[in-house]
Amino acid sequence: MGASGKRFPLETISGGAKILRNALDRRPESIALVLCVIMAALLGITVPRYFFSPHNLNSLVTSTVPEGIVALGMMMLLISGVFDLSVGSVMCLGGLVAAIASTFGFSTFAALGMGLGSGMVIGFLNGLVSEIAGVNPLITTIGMMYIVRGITEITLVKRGKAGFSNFPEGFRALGQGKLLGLQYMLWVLVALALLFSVYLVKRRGGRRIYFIGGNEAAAAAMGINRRKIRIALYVIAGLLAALAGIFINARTGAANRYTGQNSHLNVIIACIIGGGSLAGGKGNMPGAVLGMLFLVLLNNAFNLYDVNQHVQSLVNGLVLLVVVVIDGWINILKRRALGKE
Amino acid sequence: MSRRNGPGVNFSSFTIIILTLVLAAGLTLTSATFLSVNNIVSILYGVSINFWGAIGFVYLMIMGELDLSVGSVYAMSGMVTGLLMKAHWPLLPALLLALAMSAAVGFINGFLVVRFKVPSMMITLGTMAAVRGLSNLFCTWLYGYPYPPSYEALARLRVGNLHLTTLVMIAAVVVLEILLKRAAVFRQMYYVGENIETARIYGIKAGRQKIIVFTVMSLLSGIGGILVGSRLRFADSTIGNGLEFTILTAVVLGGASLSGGKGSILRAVVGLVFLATITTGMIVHNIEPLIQQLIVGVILIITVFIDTRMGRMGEAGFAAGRSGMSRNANDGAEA
Repeated sequence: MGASGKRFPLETISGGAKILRNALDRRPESIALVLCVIMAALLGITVPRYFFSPHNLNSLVTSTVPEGIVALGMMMLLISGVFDLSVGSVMCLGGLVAAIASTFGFSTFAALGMGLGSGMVIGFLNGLVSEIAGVNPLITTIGMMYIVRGITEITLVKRGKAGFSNFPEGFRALGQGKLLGLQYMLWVLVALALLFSVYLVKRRGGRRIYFIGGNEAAAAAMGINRRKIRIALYVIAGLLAALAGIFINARTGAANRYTGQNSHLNVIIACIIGGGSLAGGKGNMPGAVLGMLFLVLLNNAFNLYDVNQHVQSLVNGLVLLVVVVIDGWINILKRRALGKE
Repeated sequence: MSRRNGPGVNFSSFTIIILTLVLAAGLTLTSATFLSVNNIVSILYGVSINFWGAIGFVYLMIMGELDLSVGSVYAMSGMVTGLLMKAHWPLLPALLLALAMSAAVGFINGFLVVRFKVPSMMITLGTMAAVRGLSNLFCTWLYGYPYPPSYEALARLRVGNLHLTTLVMIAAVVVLEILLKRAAVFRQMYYVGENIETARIYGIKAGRQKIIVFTVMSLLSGIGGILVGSRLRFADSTIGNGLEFTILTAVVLGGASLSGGKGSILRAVVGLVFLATITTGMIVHNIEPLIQQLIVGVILIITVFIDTRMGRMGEAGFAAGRSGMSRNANDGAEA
């Protein structure tokens, strides 16, 4: 904190920075919200006929929701100070388990349960290895990413590119059915986001998640069991990832190796844009969803303007850099302000 | 964080070497084709190309940082070389510009990490995506363009049976490993990784050193990328995909720790050899190669678990060394 001798030149514009800092302190999802509004306005004004077409709106929902659901779990892990890179593989596994179960004649309900169960098992293993055995979460979840991907690849190897398809009607309805004109999966995302939001903000258990991420030592001194909480969060993250995989497979009507292939990075990028931080202790549910929505809107813009798809990855990366740098800069100013007082 | 000189900790110095020897011995006994000159040469050739990304990665992990953009830089540097040669540049200037661009990526990584005190994982996640986008764009411009013979020849230079890249790797490992143990500049990296505040009190310019290492990291990755392009003879958008995880796995198998202060060039290269040997073993034994990911994942977790246990003997509780990345956000460094 006090180690820096030089003045930070950026501090000269600290008036504006202070306002930004306060806004971001209270509402860490502001950046993502502003970005989403800008993107939506841009698209709505310049290409309204395409943007508001039912087909486009539908595709916005189906591309935001599954990874948005995963982002909810990832954001809670980030708040508690850890993360999970195996979610992409778990999406593939959960979707695959459910798809196989339903192809072999289990009821949709049972198939759903088995898929979700597989995700929870992987999440529990992640928690066990990183919290009880003490292996760094990056290593644990990369290892788990390899392991789970290996399992799904071996299961799918004789199946060719299409993987499993020919699902019964009931299973397909999970991904394609609608309630009051909106997809089931959208309702599920909204319900989960509300549920977790209320828990994080209103319940003591939720506040504890912020404590262990914000200051692990202090939380431990207060007698908060960090291990138990993080293991529970890993299980939830696994469950949500499996759920997302099931939605994707049920919607597309196929369970193949492409499910969740780059999702782990997308989801982390979305969470950080949405106000989360790998340093822990900050972030919220709206941020996770808005971060993901922004990535999808960006993608949508590239499609509608017919820009080379590859520029999108470039822009995603640059946006992430800008968000991370703003976050770091505000943290520096914040710590400096605390040091002065 | 973890002790390097206590009893039992030495285990980690030998784990990967012993594992590799056991694996190689097992394969030699069970297969007639494994221990052939061609096979060994091809394993070493593959390793000698990924090796370029691993050198800088070891240095970064010693300092408690990491660089996920390595795979994207691999892709970019080869394609920049190809693009410039397509525009009728001679080979040497094309190589130099490609390397300069790679180094620039590393400088950006280092500068942002140090100046804004943010975890390197977040920054390099961003540059990974950005540079990947750039190289995919280049790839579309290079569609259907086979690289000219002068560029193709680079990775194919041979001395006797061995590729020149393999010989360079062996020489580099010997020199760099000795430097890492003896030279003051390299020893300082360990101090920075172990405790950045103490290192700074002793006058080590930790921030500047980190920026330099990030830049060198990407520069060396650029060399690796040029060799991949030369070996492949055309631009492919999958070059370097997942390389960051392969290298991270190899470096960690070689005893480096995410909490900094540990790592060795020699053992990281042995880690790469180990991963390549597993692949070869699968092919030799006609095992479904896809199971490889599963095995690598299990080995990675078990190795680190054992290492963590050993490192923690005598340390209080589990709290120490949980995450080198989140720690950086609090400690940070000055430019």
